[in-house]
Amino acid sequence: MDSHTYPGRGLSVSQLIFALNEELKRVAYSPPFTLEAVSQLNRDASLALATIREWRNSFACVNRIPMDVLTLIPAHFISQRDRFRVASVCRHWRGVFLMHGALWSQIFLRMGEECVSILLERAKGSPLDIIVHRHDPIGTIALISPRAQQIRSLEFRNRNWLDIIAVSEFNSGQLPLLRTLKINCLRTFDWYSPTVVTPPSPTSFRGFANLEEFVFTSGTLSLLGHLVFPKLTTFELCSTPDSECNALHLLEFLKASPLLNTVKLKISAAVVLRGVPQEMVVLLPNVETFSLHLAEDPTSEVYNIAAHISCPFSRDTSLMHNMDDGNVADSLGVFPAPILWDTIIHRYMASPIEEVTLEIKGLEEEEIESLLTFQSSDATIFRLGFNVDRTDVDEDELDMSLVEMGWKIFSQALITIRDHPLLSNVKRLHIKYKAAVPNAYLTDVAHGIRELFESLGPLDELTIRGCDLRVFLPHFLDSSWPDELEKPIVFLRTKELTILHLSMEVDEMECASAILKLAKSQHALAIPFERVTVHMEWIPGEIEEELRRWVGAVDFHEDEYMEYMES
Amino acid sequence: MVLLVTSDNKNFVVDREVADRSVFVKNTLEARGLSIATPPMLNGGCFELTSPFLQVLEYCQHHRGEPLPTTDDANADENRKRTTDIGEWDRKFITVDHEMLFEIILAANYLDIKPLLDVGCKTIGNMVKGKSPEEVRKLFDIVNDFTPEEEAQIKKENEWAEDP
Repeated sequence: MDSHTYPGRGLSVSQLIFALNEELKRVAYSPPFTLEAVSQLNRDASLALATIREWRNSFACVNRIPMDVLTLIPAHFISQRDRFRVASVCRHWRGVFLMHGALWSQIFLRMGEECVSILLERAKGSPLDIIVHRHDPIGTIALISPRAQQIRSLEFRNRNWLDIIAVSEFNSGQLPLLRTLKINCLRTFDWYSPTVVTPPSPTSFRGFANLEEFVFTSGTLSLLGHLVFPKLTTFELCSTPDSECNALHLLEFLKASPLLNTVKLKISAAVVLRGVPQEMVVLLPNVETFSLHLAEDPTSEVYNIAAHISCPFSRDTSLMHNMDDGNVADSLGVFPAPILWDTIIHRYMASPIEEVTLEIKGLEEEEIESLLTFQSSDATIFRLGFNVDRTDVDEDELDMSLVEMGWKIFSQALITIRDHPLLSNVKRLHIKYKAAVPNAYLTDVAHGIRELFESLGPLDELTIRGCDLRVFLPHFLDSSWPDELEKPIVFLRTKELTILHLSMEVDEMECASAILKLAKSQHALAIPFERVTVHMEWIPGEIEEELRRWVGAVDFHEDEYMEYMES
Repeated sequence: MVLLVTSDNKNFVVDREVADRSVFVKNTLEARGLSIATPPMLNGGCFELTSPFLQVLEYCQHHRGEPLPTTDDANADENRKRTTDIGEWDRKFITVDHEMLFEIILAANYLDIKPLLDVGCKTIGNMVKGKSPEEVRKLFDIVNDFTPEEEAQIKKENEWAEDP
């Protein structure tokens, strides 16, 4: 019970409410009261009740949290819907959250004029993030015009290019806070004359001079040639053109953005280099992350485009391409040709290489993913990736099996590693490909490995994971190597050798024997292994014991059958 | 080593590196040039101090040596806020009853331990996320204190927000 009393009345709050209730009962249905008067009483009572409930809520544990801390809770929400909901819990929360402008800065124009007006009012002077959808009426955009100075990011989702141009012109002055522009452009041209691409006018994007991040999803690259954002530091492109596109526009756009730090480009169409001067090189000295991914690249243009760009200080570079032709591996070009490769290395990675990883994965019997990674001592990473998807290829058109293709790619990758001019410092080499080599390819692949090993200096670590051991140890194998084939002598000096989960082409006994013979051979050459690690399903105990005589340390693991298969 | 004394007169001797997780303690020590701190007098009120303070110390012990968030990086601050992800250890650590959760938040706020304050606020955020106002009220023992007119306005707003 409350203890407050009111001087002059001598009543506590409780007593006042009780007295009010008695009075209401007494006057109920009295002639002087009209419907309007009673309705007013009802409103007054609601207000009083709300005040009492608000008072009651002040005792809730959660409301002991100070107001400035309470605002941090919805600040973590990404969903605008959740922010609206928490502002509907009680008066205290609503009051706190409505005062905090930053919570209301994300404005979807599709919410309608009334809501947008309310949000703009709540956001006060906070930087604004504006999202424009496909069917949002241009009229709503006029609402944000007076607050253009506050716009921090502007995003167009599935919007017609002509509309985007119109919206970009809504403000005639600068947008000093605007840092991020995201455009997902549905169509680039007029529906009725599809070959015409309307370029932005001189007044389009005029106030976007401070733009730092540009994410562009579009059906054409040609628009890029019309856009200039000189302070851009991040550029992401996702282009799915309706037809072949010319990389010249992309190169010109990059050239006009010398401050770029992060560049991520993904293009899902055939790209040509029409009108690009052979000597043209776009230097991007500030780029630390660069990726170029051509999702349909039957002619390996990815490397030709990459050769026209130079990111000498990139810490993380990826050049990836896909082909859906079933026989591509026959036509080289999976990895760059030697001269082009040399050019690319000098454009992107000047540091000596310390670690090389080749990983090839066969997926669902229809796809192959291959990734060649070079890492330098300062942790700079350079990747070459190549994927083949034969899901939609008619079997009659295929000249080779997926396994054969995998080993063709493998052989090309070995040459690409070997041709890297900065291999003298390589300390670690990892090779991962779980597949058996068809007999017809055995000698070629083994020679490829021998040539690679000959081009490398002494290693600290060599890891062979899942591979067909025959191509690595042909000289030490008996029954599993076909008699009619030549046996190249393959191996190199390495401190540590790790062999994990071999393919099933060599039985455990012969495999273990070959490793033992190799260890003895290395010992005889005065280059013994310091450590040998082997993971197999079963390891003959006597071989493990014998091996310890020739190797500094032996680490054998017998893996479970399922683990062995799944790996 | 640093001696910390809570307002209910419990002593805690901790490594300086652990104590420095609290910007309040760190600044206090640096300002006074002391190796032994006078107590960070937590604002007592109705709270039992020792219990949340032990939790706070456990948090600081676990995260000792990690870089402290800088106050001058506005973007990092923004990115930090725009997620409700919580690390595995922090998630287990903060799995406590509501009462303790609020006390940890209050202590983190007072002692100026931003990462812990974030963990606490994200935890409440995760409890609230996706729930209707009525469900949130039930969760925190709050009653609906809006007038019918206010409710009508709120209902309209929530309809706007349903499909932004």
